[in-house]
Amino acid sequence: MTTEVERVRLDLDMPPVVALEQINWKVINEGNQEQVFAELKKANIDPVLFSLTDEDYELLQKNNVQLRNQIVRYRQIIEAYKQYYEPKQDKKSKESNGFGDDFKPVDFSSKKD
Amino acid sequence: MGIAVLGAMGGLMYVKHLQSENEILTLNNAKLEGAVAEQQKVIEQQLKDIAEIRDINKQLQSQNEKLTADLQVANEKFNKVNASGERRDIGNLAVSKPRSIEIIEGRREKQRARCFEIAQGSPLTEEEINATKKSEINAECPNIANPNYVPY
Repeated sequence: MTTEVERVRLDLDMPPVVALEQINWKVINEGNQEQVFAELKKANIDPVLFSLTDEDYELLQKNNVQLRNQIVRYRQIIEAYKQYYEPKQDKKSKESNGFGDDFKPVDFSSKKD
Repeated sequence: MGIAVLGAMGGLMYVKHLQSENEILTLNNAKLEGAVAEQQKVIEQQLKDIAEIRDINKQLQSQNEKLTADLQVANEKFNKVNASGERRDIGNLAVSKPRSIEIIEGRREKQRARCFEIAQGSPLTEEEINATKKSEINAECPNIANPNYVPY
């Protein structure tokens, strides 16, 4: 006769929130390029710019949104798995999460239509 | 006389046999009832699990719709059409007002960084939760940053 033994819960903590570095955009066009480079030199910053066209800038921002959304989706899936398989021990992470009503993890076992 | 005794013994053995059969049947019946109850529990648990899975999927789908809405915000932001029917072009704006665009981008970059924090699970601030006006919201990701904001 075999007895089922429940596996020890994995119960991994979510990684801490990473705060991104603040970057400064320089907008340079035909009319202000000399002024921009002069300002860079004055501020002792290498007079070089890594540039994008306005079209590519738009794509960069859209890519950022896609990446951000994907992070949210992965988090939600991880939290749903935790809630489903480890419902009792998930209270701690639930309390620490600050998503709005729509984004905070839902106690699926108690939420019924 | 002997035949009567044999007959009685036979009858007794038959009764014993019936009693034994009856006990076996009773035990089997109890086992079956137990098995049915067990199966019933399994079925109930499975139904509960299915309902939970359905709720999880519904929740994820609803949240996904909000994320898609944020992507839509990003798409529309660069192609907004004003009252005169002209398409907003950040390139044109950057040509005519580079400094203004730099200032706006500086502010937006802070908002974008905050959006990434929220995406990772950073708690919303009171200001973010209570924001209902355009001037109060995080314009980069209102759908995850400002749960009480209704676009107008």
